[in-house]
Amino acid sequence: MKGRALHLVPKPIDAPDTAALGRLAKGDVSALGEVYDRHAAALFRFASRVSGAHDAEDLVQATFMTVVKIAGSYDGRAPDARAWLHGVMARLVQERRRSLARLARALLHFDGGPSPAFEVDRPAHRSDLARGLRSLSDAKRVVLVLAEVEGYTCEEIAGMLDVPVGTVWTRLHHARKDLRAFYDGSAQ
Amino acid sequence: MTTELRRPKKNAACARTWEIEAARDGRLSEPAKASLDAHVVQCAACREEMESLEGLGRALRELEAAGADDVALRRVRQRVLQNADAGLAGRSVPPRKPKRTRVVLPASAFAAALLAGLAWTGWNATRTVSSAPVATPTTTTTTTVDAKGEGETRWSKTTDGETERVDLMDGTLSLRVRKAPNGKRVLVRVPDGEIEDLGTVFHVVVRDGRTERVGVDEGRVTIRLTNAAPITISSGQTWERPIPASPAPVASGTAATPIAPVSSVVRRDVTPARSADRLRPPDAPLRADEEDAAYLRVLQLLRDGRDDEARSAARDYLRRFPDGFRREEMGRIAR
Repeated sequence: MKGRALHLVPKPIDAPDTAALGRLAKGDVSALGEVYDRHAAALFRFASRVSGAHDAEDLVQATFMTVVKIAGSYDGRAPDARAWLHGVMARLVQERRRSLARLARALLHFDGGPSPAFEVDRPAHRSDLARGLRSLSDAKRVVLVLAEVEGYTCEEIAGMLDVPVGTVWTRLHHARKDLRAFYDGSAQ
Repeated sequence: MTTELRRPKKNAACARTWEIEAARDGRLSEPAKASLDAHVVQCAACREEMESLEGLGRALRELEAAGADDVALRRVRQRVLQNADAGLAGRSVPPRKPKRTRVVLPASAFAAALLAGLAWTGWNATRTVSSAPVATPTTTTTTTVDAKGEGETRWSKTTDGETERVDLMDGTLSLRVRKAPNGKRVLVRVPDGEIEDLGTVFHVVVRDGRTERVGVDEGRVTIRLTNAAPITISSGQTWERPIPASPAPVASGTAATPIAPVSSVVRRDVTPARSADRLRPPDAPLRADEEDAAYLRVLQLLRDGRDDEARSAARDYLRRFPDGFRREEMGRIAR
Protein backbone atom coordinates (compact mmCIF):
# COMPACT_ATOMS: atom_id res chain seq x y z
CA MET A 1 0.00 0.00 0.00
CA LYS A 2 2.94 2.28 0.48
CA GLY A 3 2.93 5.21 -1.90
CA ARG A 4 -0.30 4.19 -3.59
CA ALA A 5 -3.27 6.49 -3.61
CA LEU A 6 -6.61 5.11 -2.62
CA HIS A 7 -9.35 5.75 -5.12
CA LEU A 8 -12.74 5.88 -3.55
CA VAL A 9 -15.42 4.74 -5.91
CA PRO A 10 -18.91 5.93 -5.01
CA LYS A 11 -21.31 3.10 -4.42
CA PRO A 12 -24.05 3.49 -6.99
CA ILE A 13 -26.32 1.17 -5.04
CA ASP A 14 -27.11 4.11 -2.74
CA ALA A 15 -29.05 5.89 -5.50
CA PRO A 16 -32.77 5.12 -5.23
CA ASP A 17 -33.11 4.31 -8.92
CA THR A 18 -30.13 2.00 -8.85
CA ALA A 19 -31.52 0.18 -5.86
CA ALA A 20 -34.99 -0.03 -7.36
CA LEU A 21 -33.75 -1.28 -10.73
CA GLY A 22 -31.56 -3.80 -8.95
CA ARG A 23 -34.58 -5.11 -7.07
CA LEU A 24 -36.59 -5.15 -10.27
CA ALA A 25 -33.88 -7.20 -11.96
CA LYS A 26 -34.33 -9.74 -9.17
CA GLY A 27 -38.07 -9.92 -9.78
CA ASP A 28 -39.47 -7.37 -7.35
CA VAL A 29 -42.24 -5.75 -9.40
CA SER A 30 -43.04 -3.16 -6.74
CA ALA A 31 -39.65 -1.55 -7.51
CA LEU A 32 -40.97 -0.79 -10.98
CA GLY A 33 -43.75 1.24 -9.36
CA GLU A 34 -41.16 3.35 -7.57
CA VAL A 35 -39.26 4.07 -10.77
CA TYR A 36 -42.50 4.78 -12.58
CA ASP A 37 -43.66 7.25 -9.95
CA ARG A 38 -40.37 9.14 -10.13
CA HIS A 39 -40.08 9.44 -13.91
CA ALA A 40 -43.37 8.72 -15.65
CA ALA A 41 -44.53 12.33 -15.87
CA ALA A 42 -41.26 13.46 -17.49
CA LEU A 43 -41.33 10.51 -19.87
CA PHE A 44 -44.89 11.34 -20.88
CA ARG A 45 -43.78 14.85 -21.86
CA PHE A 46 -40.81 13.49 -23.81
CA ALA A 47 -43.02 10.90 -25.51
CA SER A 48 -45.51 13.57 -26.41
CA ARG A 49 -42.79 15.61 -28.11
CA VAL A 50 -41.14 12.81 -30.03
CA SER A 51 -44.12 10.67 -30.84
CA GLY A 52 -47.21 12.85 -30.45
CA ALA A 53 -49.72 12.97 -27.62
CA HIS A 54 -51.75 10.25 -29.24
CA ASP A 55 -49.01 7.65 -28.89
CA ALA A 56 -47.47 8.88 -25.65
CA GLU A 57 -49.36 6.47 -23.45
CA ASP A 58 -48.40 3.42 -25.47
CA LEU A 59 -44.82 4.59 -25.67
CA VAL A 60 -44.51 5.09 -21.93
CA GLN A 61 -45.98 1.66 -21.33
CA ALA A 62 -43.62 0.06 -23.84
CA THR A 63 -40.68 1.83 -22.23
CA PHE A 64 -41.42 0.50 -18.78
CA MET A 65 -42.07 -2.98 -20.12
CA THR A 66 -38.65 -2.83 -21.75
CA VAL A 67 -37.19 -1.68 -18.45
CA VAL A 68 -38.54 -4.82 -16.81
CA LYS A 69 -36.50 -6.89 -19.23
CA ILE A 70 -33.27 -4.89 -19.11
CA ALA A 71 -33.25 -3.55 -15.54
CA GLY A 72 -30.19 -5.65 -14.80
CA SER A 73 -28.22 -3.79 -17.44
CA TYR A 74 -28.49 -0.44 -15.63
CA ASP A 75 -25.03 0.29 -14.30
CA GLY A 76 -25.98 3.05 -11.87
CA ARG A 77 -23.38 5.45 -13.23
CA ALA A 78 -25.77 8.41 -13.24
CA PRO A 79 -27.34 9.81 -10.06
CA ASP A 80 -30.75 8.87 -11.34
CA ALA A 81 -32.03 6.75 -14.17
CA ARG A 82 -33.82 9.44 -16.13
CA ALA A 83 -31.21 9.69 -18.89
CA TRP A 84 -31.17 5.93 -19.17
CA LEU A 85 -34.97 5.85 -19.38
CA HIS A 86 -34.89 8.58 -22.03
CA GLY A 87 -32.48 6.40 -23.97
CA VAL A 88 -34.74 3.37 -23.69
CA MET A 89 -37.67 5.37 -24.96
CA ALA A 90 -35.64 7.04 -27.72
CA ARG A 91 -34.52 3.68 -29.05
CA LEU A 92 -38.08 2.39 -28.95
CA VAL A 93 -39.26 5.35 -30.99
CA GLN A 94 -36.68 4.63 -33.64
CA GLU A 95 -37.32 0.91 -33.70
CA ARG A 96 -41.04 1.24 -33.76
CA ARG A 97 -42.93 1.15 -36.97
CA ARG A 98 -46.47 1.98 -36.19
CA SER A 99 -48.48 -0.28 -38.40
CA LEU A 100 -51.55 1.93 -38.40
CA ALA A 101 -49.57 5.00 -39.36
CA ARG A 102 -47.87 3.09 -42.16
CA LEU A 103 -51.17 1.80 -43.38
CA ALA A 104 -52.75 5.23 -43.31
CA ARG A 105 -49.74 6.67 -45.11
CA ALA A 106 -50.07 4.04 -47.79
CA LEU A 107 -53.78 4.71 -48.11
CA LEU A 108 -53.34 8.44 -48.32
CA HIS A 109 -50.54 8.11 -50.86
CA PHE A 110 -52.73 5.73 -52.80
CA ASP A 111 -55.36 8.41 -52.78
CA GLY A 112 -52.84 11.06 -53.79
CA GLY A 113 -53.33 12.90 -50.50
CA PRO A 114 -50.73 14.46 -48.24
CA SER A 115 -48.49 12.53 -45.91
CA PRO A 116 -50.28 11.79 -42.64
CA ALA A 117 -47.28 13.08 -40.73
CA PHE A 118 -49.08 16.40 -40.65
CA GLU A 119 -52.51 14.94 -40.15
CA VAL A 120 -51.92 12.77 -37.12
CA ASP A 121 -52.92 14.24 -33.81
CA ARG A 122 -52.93 17.82 -34.93
CA PRO A 123 -54.93 20.20 -32.81
CA ALA A 124 -55.98 23.25 -34.74
CA HIS A 125 -53.79 25.57 -32.64
CA ARG A 126 -50.56 23.65 -33.12
CA SER A 127 -47.85 25.96 -34.34
CA ASP A 128 -45.76 25.72 -37.46
CA LEU A 129 -42.79 24.74 -35.35
CA ALA A 130 -44.68 21.83 -33.86
CA ARG A 131 -45.75 20.71 -37.31
CA GLY A 132 -42.19 21.04 -38.48
CA LEU A 133 -41.03 18.88 -35.60
CA ARG A 134 -43.62 16.26 -36.51
CA SER A 135 -42.41 16.32 -40.10
CA LEU A 136 -38.90 15.18 -39.12
CA SER A 137 -37.98 11.54 -39.18
CA ASP A 138 -38.09 9.74 -35.84
CA ALA A 139 -34.30 9.56 -35.72
CA LYS A 140 -33.82 13.29 -36.27
CA ARG A 141 -36.66 14.32 -33.99
CA VAL A 142 -35.44 12.19 -31.11
CA VAL A 143 -31.92 13.57 -31.31
CA LEU A 144 -33.13 17.16 -31.61
CA VAL A 145 -35.45 16.90 -28.60
CA LEU A 146 -32.84 15.14 -26.50
CA ALA A 147 -30.29 17.85 -27.29
CA GLU A 148 -32.33 21.04 -27.37
CA VAL A 149 -35.18 20.29 -24.97
CA GLU A 150 -33.80 17.73 -22.54
CA GLY A 151 -30.32 19.28 -22.58
CA TYR A 152 -28.18 16.18 -23.11
CA THR A 153 -24.77 16.49 -24.74
CA CYS A 154 -24.11 14.75 -28.04
CA GLU A 155 -21.87 12.25 -26.27
CA GLU A 156 -24.64 11.42 -23.82
CA ILE A 157 -27.13 11.01 -26.64
CA ALA A 158 -24.72 8.75 -28.51
CA GLY A 159 -24.50 6.61 -25.39
CA MET A 160 -28.26 6.50 -25.00
CA LEU A 161 -28.87 5.47 -28.58
CA ASP A 162 -25.79 3.29 -28.88
CA VAL A 163 -24.63 5.08 -32.01
CA PRO A 164 -21.37 6.92 -32.79
CA VAL A 165 -21.29 10.55 -31.74
CA GLY A 166 -20.73 11.49 -35.37
CA THR A 167 -24.14 10.06 -36.17
CA VAL A 168 -25.69 12.26 -33.51
CA TRP A 169 -23.95 15.34 -34.94
CA THR A 170 -25.17 14.51 -38.44
CA ARG A 171 -28.75 13.89 -37.36
CA LEU A 172 -28.80 17.03 -35.27
CA HIS A 173 -27.46 19.14 -38.10
CA HIS A 174 -30.00 17.79 -40.58
CA ALA A 175 -32.83 18.08 -38.05
CA ARG A 176 -32.12 21.78 -37.57
CA LYS A 177 -31.71 22.29 -41.30
CA ASP A 178 -35.00 20.53 -42.08
CA LEU A 179 -36.82 22.35 -39.34
CA ARG A 180 -35.58 25.74 -40.50
CA ALA A 181 -36.48 24.88 -44.08
CA PHE A 182 -39.94 23.77 -43.00
CA TYR A 183 -40.40 26.90 -40.96
CA ASP A 184 -39.20 29.13 -43.78
CA GLY A 185 -41.50 27.37 -46.21
CA SER A 186 -44.55 27.57 -44.00
CA ALA A 187 -43.89 31.20 -43.11
CA GLN A 188 -43.91 32.28 -46.71
CA MET B 1 -44.70 35.04 -25.11
CA THR B 2 -43.14 32.72 -27.64
CA THR B 3 -39.72 32.90 -29.20
CA GLU B 4 -39.58 34.10 -32.74
CA LEU B 5 -37.49 31.97 -35.06
CA ARG B 6 -35.01 33.91 -37.07
CA ARG B 7 -33.05 32.84 -40.09
CA PRO B 8 -29.67 34.49 -40.80
CA LYS B 9 -29.68 36.83 -43.77
CA LYS B 10 -28.46 35.05 -46.86
CA ASN B 11 -26.30 37.96 -47.98
CA ALA B 12 -24.42 38.06 -44.70
CA ALA B 13 -22.53 34.81 -45.18
CA CYS B 14 -19.25 34.14 -43.46
CA ALA B 15 -16.91 31.21 -44.09
CA ARG B 16 -16.88 30.38 -40.39
CA THR B 17 -20.64 30.33 -39.81
CA TRP B 18 -20.73 26.53 -39.81
CA GLU B 19 -18.50 26.58 -36.71
CA ILE B 20 -21.32 28.08 -34.63
CA GLU B 21 -23.32 24.89 -34.80
CA ALA B 22 -20.18 22.79 -34.40
CA ALA B 23 -19.35 24.65 -31.19
CA ARG B 24 -22.89 24.25 -29.90
CA ASP B 25 -22.71 20.49 -30.42
CA GLY B 26 -19.25 20.12 -28.86
CA ARG B 27 -17.47 19.40 -32.11
CA LEU B 28 -14.77 22.04 -31.73
CA SER B 29 -11.58 21.75 -29.73
CA GLU B 30 -10.97 24.29 -26.97
CA PRO B 31 -8.49 26.37 -29.04
CA ALA B 32 -10.85 26.40 -32.01
CA LYS B 33 -13.71 27.43 -29.75
CA ALA B 34 -11.65 30.25 -28.24
CA SER B 35 -10.78 31.45 -31.72
CA LEU B 36 -14.43 31.36 -32.72
CA ASP B 37 -15.47 33.30 -29.62
CA ALA B 38 -13.06 36.07 -30.60
CA HIS B 39 -14.34 36.00 -34.18
CA VAL B 40 -17.99 36.19 -33.21
CA VAL B 41 -17.45 39.50 -31.45
CA GLN B 42 -16.57 41.06 -34.79
CA CYS B 43 -18.76 39.06 -37.19
CA ALA B 44 -22.42 40.00 -37.50
CA ALA B 45 -23.25 36.96 -39.64
CA CYS B 46 -21.92 34.53 -37.05
CA ARG B 47 -23.68 36.37 -34.24
CA GLU B 48 -26.88 36.13 -36.19
CA GLU B 49 -26.37 32.42 -36.75
CA MET B 50 -25.70 31.96 -33.04
CA GLU B 51 -28.88 33.83 -32.12
CA SER B 52 -30.81 31.84 -34.68
CA LEU B 53 -29.68 28.51 -33.26
CA GLU B 54 -30.32 29.61 -29.71
CA GLY B 55 -33.74 30.87 -30.75
CA LEU B 56 -34.55 27.54 -32.33
CA GLY B 57 -33.60 25.68 -29.17
CA ARG B 58 -35.55 28.12 -27.01
CA ALA B 59 -38.61 27.81 -29.22
CA LEU B 60 -38.46 24.02 -28.99
CA ARG B 61 -38.25 24.18 -25.21
CA GLU B 62 -41.20 26.56 -25.12
CA LEU B 63 -43.22 24.29 -27.33
CA GLU B 64 -46.07 22.95 -25.31
CA ALA B 65 -45.76 19.26 -24.61
CA ALA B 66 -48.88 17.47 -23.56
CA GLY B 67 -48.18 15.93 -20.21
CA ALA B 68 -50.19 13.10 -18.78
CA ASP B 69 -53.08 13.84 -16.50
CA ASP B 70 -53.44 12.01 -13.24
CA VAL B 71 -55.90 9.51 -14.65
CA ALA B 72 -53.60 8.58 -17.53
CA LEU B 73 -50.61 8.24 -15.22
CA ARG B 74 -52.53 5.90 -12.93
CA ARG B 75 -53.98 3.94 -15.81
CA VAL B 76 -50.59 3.31 -17.40
CA ARG B 77 -49.08 2.54 -14.00
CA GLN B 78 -51.62 -0.16 -13.36
CA ARG B 79 -51.18 -1.62 -16.83
CA VAL B 80 -47.40 -1.62 -16.57
CA LEU B 81 -47.35 -3.28 -13.17
CA GLN B 82 -49.95 -5.81 -14.20
CA ASN B 83 -48.01 -6.82 -17.29
CA ALA B 84 -44.72 -6.82 -15.44
CA ASP B 85 -46.21 -8.95 -12.71
CA ALA B 86 -47.52 -11.46 -15.21
CA GLY B 87 -44.28 -11.44 -17.18
CA LEU B 88 -41.99 -11.92 -14.20
CA ALA B 89 -44.18 -14.69 -12.87
CA GLY B 90 -43.49 -16.56 -16.11
CA ARG B 91 -46.97 -16.40 -17.47
CA SER B 92 -47.58 -15.57 -21.06
CA VAL B 93 -48.62 -11.97 -21.53
CA PRO B 94 -50.64 -11.12 -24.60
CA PRO B 95 -48.76 -8.50 -26.59
CA ARG B 96 -50.29 -5.07 -26.55
CA LYS B 97 -49.66 -4.63 -30.22
CA PRO B 98 -50.20 -7.39 -32.75
CA LYS B 99 -47.09 -8.76 -34.37
CA ARG B 100 -46.27 -7.07 -37.59
CA THR B 101 -46.49 -9.20 -40.64
CA ARG B 102 -45.76 -8.37 -44.21
CA VAL B 103 -48.90 -9.15 -46.15
CA VAL B 104 -50.45 -8.27 -49.42
CA LEU B 105 -53.86 -6.86 -48.74
CA PRO B 106 -56.71 -8.41 -50.66
CA ALA B 107 -59.50 -6.12 -51.75
CA SER B 108 -61.75 -6.89 -48.76
CA ALA B 109 -58.97 -6.32 -46.26
CA PHE B 110 -58.04 -3.13 -48.05
CA ALA B 111 -61.59 -1.90 -47.66
CA ALA B 112 -61.57 -2.77 -43.97
CA ALA B 113 -58.24 -1.01 -43.60
CA LEU B 114 -59.64 2.01 -45.38
CA LEU B 115 -62.49 2.09 -42.85
CA ALA B 116 -59.99 1.89 -40.02
CA GLY B 117 -57.93 4.65 -41.56
CA LEU B 118 -60.95 6.87 -41.95
CA ALA B 119 -61.99 6.21 -38.36
CA TRP B 120 -58.50 7.05 -37.24
CA THR B 121 -58.18 10.29 -39.15
CA GLY B 122 -61.61 11.32 -37.94
CA TRP B 123 -60.54 10.90 -34.32
CA ASN B 124 -62.05 14.12 -33.07
CA ALA B 125 -65.19 13.93 -35.12
CA THR B 126 -68.32 14.25 -33.07
CA ARG B 127 -71.58 12.88 -34.24
CA THR B 128 -75.11 12.90 -33.02
CA VAL B 129 -76.89 9.59 -33.24
CA SER B 130 -80.41 8.47 -33.03
CA SER B 131 -81.60 5.83 -30.65
CA ALA B 132 -81.22 3.16 -33.31
CA PRO B 133 -78.46 0.60 -32.73
CA VAL B 134 -75.22 1.43 -34.46
CA ALA B 135 -73.48 -1.01 -36.74
CA THR B 136 -70.27 -2.30 -35.27
CA PRO B 137 -67.23 -2.04 -37.54
CA THR B 138 -65.34 -5.19 -38.32
CA THR B 139 -62.09 -5.44 -36.40
CA THR B 140 -59.24 -7.89 -36.26
CA THR B 141 -60.26 -9.02 -32.79
CA THR B 142 -63.48 -10.45 -31.55
CA THR B 143 -64.23 -7.49 -29.30
CA THR B 144 -67.42 -5.77 -30.37
CA VAL B 145 -69.03 -2.67 -28.97
CA ASP B 146 -72.66 -1.88 -29.62
CA ALA B 147 -73.57 1.60 -28.48
CA LYS B 148 -76.94 3.30 -28.48
CA GLY B 149 -77.44 6.94 -27.58
CA GLU B 150 -80.68 8.38 -26.31
CA GLY B 151 -82.11 11.47 -27.99
CA GLU B 152 -79.47 14.10 -28.75
CA THR B 153 -76.62 12.23 -27.14
CA ARG B 154 -73.26 13.35 -28.51
CA TRP B 155 -70.71 10.59 -28.78
CA SER B 156 -68.25 8.98 -31.16
CA LYS B 157 -66.45 5.69 -31.43
CA THR B 158 -62.99 4.98 -32.77
CA THR B 159 -60.60 2.09 -32.94
CA ASP B 160 -57.10 3.00 -31.87
CA GLY B 161 -54.60 0.18 -32.03
CA GLU B 162 -55.60 -2.27 -29.35
CA THR B 163 -58.28 -0.07 -27.83
CA GLU B 164 -61.89 0.56 -28.73
CA ARG B 165 -62.61 4.10 -27.55
CA VAL B 166 -65.99 5.65 -27.10
CA ASP B 167 -66.07 9.38 -26.42
CA LEU B 168 -69.21 10.50 -24.67
CA MET B 169 -69.55 14.26 -24.61
CA ASP B 170 -73.12 14.60 -23.40
CA GLY B 171 -76.25 12.52 -22.97
CA THR B 172 -77.06 8.94 -22.14
CA LEU B 173 -75.28 6.08 -23.83
CA SER B 174 -76.03 2.39 -23.42
CA LEU B 175 -73.28 -0.04 -24.30
CA ARG B 176 -73.08 -3.76 -24.83
CA VAL B 177 -69.57 -5.13 -25.06
CA ARG B 178 -68.63 -8.61 -26.13
CA LYS B 179 -64.98 -9.08 -25.42
CA ALA B 180 -62.73 -12.03 -26.08
CA PRO B 181 -60.18 -12.92 -23.36
CA ASN B 182 -57.38 -11.32 -25.36
CA GLY B 183 -59.61 -8.83 -27.11
CA LYS B 184 -59.25 -5.09 -27.31
CA ARG B 185 -59.64 -2.83 -24.31
CA VAL B 186 -62.80 -0.82 -24.28
CA LEU B 187 -62.62 2.68 -22.84
CA VAL B 188 -65.45 5.16 -22.53
CA ARG B 189 -63.96 8.61 -22.24
CA VAL B 190 -66.10 11.15 -20.44
CA PRO B 191 -65.28 14.83 -19.89
CA ASP B 192 -64.09 14.24 -16.33
CA GLY B 193 -62.36 10.88 -16.71
CA GLU B 194 -62.90 7.47 -18.19
CA ILE B 195 -64.71 4.21 -17.67
CA GLU B 196 -63.01 0.96 -18.54
CA ASP B 197 -65.22 -1.88 -19.52
CA LEU B 198 -64.36 -5.32 -18.23
CA GLY B 199 -66.84 -7.16 -20.51
CA THR B 200 -70.33 -6.02 -19.74
CA VAL B 201 -73.60 -4.25 -20.43
CA PHE B 202 -73.81 -0.81 -18.93
CA HIS B 203 -74.92 2.76 -19.45
CA VAL B 204 -73.33 6.12 -18.80
CA VAL B 205 -74.99 9.50 -18.29
CA VAL B 206 -73.04 12.75 -18.82
CA ARG B 207 -74.55 16.18 -18.19
CA ASP B 208 -72.86 19.59 -18.32
CA GLY B 209 -69.42 18.13 -18.77
CA ARG B 210 -69.64 15.80 -15.76
CA THR B 211 -70.43 12.15 -15.35
CA GLU B 212 -73.71 11.84 -13.51
CA ARG B 213 -74.39 8.13 -13.45
CA VAL B 214 -72.93 4.77 -14.43
CA GLY B 215 -75.10 1.68 -14.16
CA VAL B 216 -74.02 -1.90 -14.80
CA ASP B 217 -76.47 -4.58 -15.90
CA GLU B 218 -73.94 -7.31 -16.58
CA GLY B 219 -70.24 -7.72 -15.86
CA ARG B 220 -68.05 -4.99 -14.35
CA VAL B 221 -66.63 -1.58 -15.14
CA THR B 222 -63.91 0.51 -13.53
CA ILE B 223 -64.65 4.22 -13.16
CA ARG B 224 -61.73 6.61 -13.05
CA LEU B 225 -62.72 10.21 -12.58
CA THR B 226 -60.61 13.25 -11.93
CA ASN B 227 -59.81 13.88 -8.27
CA ALA B 228 -61.35 10.61 -7.14
CA ALA B 229 -60.07 7.16 -6.38
CA PRO B 230 -60.97 4.63 -9.07
CA ILE B 231 -63.82 2.31 -8.23
CA THR B 232 -65.10 -0.87 -9.81
CA ILE B 233 -68.80 -1.59 -9.87
CA SER B 234 -70.42 -4.76 -11.06
CA SER B 235 -73.73 -6.19 -12.14
CA GLY B 236 -76.66 -4.58 -10.36
CA GLN B 237 -74.67 -1.60 -9.10
CA THR B 238 -75.08 2.02 -10.04
CA TRP B 239 -72.71 4.87 -9.31
CA GLU B 240 -74.30 8.30 -9.10
CA ARG B 241 -72.83 11.72 -8.54
CA PRO B 242 -74.08 13.00 -5.21
CA ILE B 243 -76.20 16.12 -5.01
CA PRO B 244 -74.04 18.74 -3.23
CA ALA B 245 -76.94 20.23 -1.28
CA SER B 246 -78.16 16.86 -0.08
CA PRO B 247 -78.89 16.82 3.65
CA ALA B 248 -77.92 13.18 3.85
CA PRO B 249 -74.70 12.68 5.84
CA VAL B 250 -71.66 11.65 3.86
CA ALA B 251 -68.28 10.37 4.86
CA SER B 252 -66.21 12.93 6.73
CA GLY B 253 -64.17 15.33 4.64
CA THR B 254 -66.14 14.81 1.47
CA ALA B 255 -68.00 18.09 1.39
CA ALA B 256 -65.49 19.92 -0.80
CA THR B 257 -64.78 16.96 -3.00
CA PRO B 258 -66.67 16.81 -6.25
CA ILE B 259 -67.15 13.05 -6.21
CA ALA B 260 -68.20 10.99 -3.24
CA PRO B 261 -68.63 7.41 -4.36
CA VAL B 262 -69.29 6.01 -0.91
CA SER B 263 -72.49 7.89 -0.51
CA SER B 264 -73.48 7.92 -4.12
CA VAL B 265 -73.35 4.30 -5.11
CA VAL B 266 -76.58 2.44 -4.78
CA ARG B 267 -75.79 -1.12 -3.80
CA ARG B 268 -78.18 -3.84 -4.67
CA ASP B 269 -76.36 -7.15 -4.77
CA VAL B 270 -72.95 -6.69 -3.33
CA THR B 271 -71.06 -8.91 -0.94
CA PRO B 272 -69.74 -6.93 2.06
CA ALA B 273 -66.11 -7.92 1.55
CA ARG B 274 -66.00 -6.66 -2.00
CA SER B 275 -67.98 -3.51 -1.46
CA ALA B 276 -65.82 -2.51 1.49
CA ASP B 277 -62.90 -1.92 -0.82
CA ARG B 278 -64.66 -0.76 -3.92
CA LEU B 279 -66.90 1.81 -2.39
CA ARG B 280 -64.48 4.09 -0.70
CA PRO B 281 -64.46 7.74 0.25
CA PRO B 282 -62.86 10.04 -2.30
CA ASP B 283 -60.22 11.31 0.08
CA ALA B 284 -58.91 7.83 0.74
CA PRO B 285 -55.37 7.04 -0.47
CA LEU B 286 -55.01 5.70 -3.97
CA ARG B 287 -56.04 2.08 -4.17
CA ALA B 288 -52.91 1.24 -6.13
CA ASP B 289 -50.73 2.48 -3.30
CA GLU B 290 -52.59 0.43 -0.73
CA GLU B 291 -52.39 -2.58 -2.98
CA ASP B 292 -48.66 -2.11 -3.34
CA ALA B 293 -48.28 -1.89 0.41
CA ALA B 294 -50.32 -5.07 0.99
CA TYR B 295 -48.31 -6.90 -1.64
CA LEU B 296 -45.00 -5.72 -0.18
CA ARG B 297 -46.07 -6.84 3.28
CA VAL B 298 -46.65 -10.37 1.99
CA LEU B 299 -43.24 -10.39 0.31
CA GLN B 300 -41.53 -9.12 3.45
CA LEU B 301 -43.15 -11.84 5.55
CA LEU B 302 -42.01 -14.45 3.07
CA ARG B 303 -38.48 -13.09 3.10
CA ASP B 304 -38.51 -13.24 6.89
CA GLY B 305 -39.58 -16.87 6.75
CA ARG B 306 -42.92 -16.12 8.44
CA ASP B 307 -44.89 -18.31 6.08
CA ASP B 308 -48.06 -18.59 8.12
CA GLU B 309 -48.30 -14.85 8.53
CA ALA B 310 -47.54 -14.38 4.83
CA ARG B 311 -50.36 -16.78 4.00
CA SER B 312 -52.68 -14.84 6.24
CA ALA B 313 -51.56 -11.52 4.73
CA ALA B 314 -52.09 -12.94 1.23
CA ARG B 315 -55.63 -13.91 2.19
CA ASP B 316 -56.13 -10.40 3.54
CA TYR B 317 -54.88 -9.02 0.20
CA LEU B 318 -57.39 -11.17 -1.68
CA ARG B 319 -60.19 -10.07 0.62
CA ARG B 320 -59.34 -6.38 0.23
CA PHE B 321 -58.40 -6.45 -3.45
CA PRO B 322 -60.42 -9.18 -5.13
CA ASP B 323 -59.64 -7.61 -8.49
CA GLY B 324 -56.03 -6.76 -7.68
CA PHE B 325 -53.53 -7.48 -10.39
CA ARG B 326 -51.42 -9.65 -8.07
CA ARG B 327 -54.37 -11.80 -7.10
CA GLU B 328 -53.05 -14.92 -8.82
CA GLU B 329 -49.70 -14.74 -7.07
CA MET B 330 -51.42 -14.00 -3.78
CA GLY B 331 -53.78 -16.89 -4.42
CA ARG B 332 -50.85 -19.26 -4.74
CA ILE B 333 -49.34 -18.02 -1.49
CA ALA B 334 -52.66 -18.11 0.33
CA ARG B 335 -53.19 -21.79 -0.41
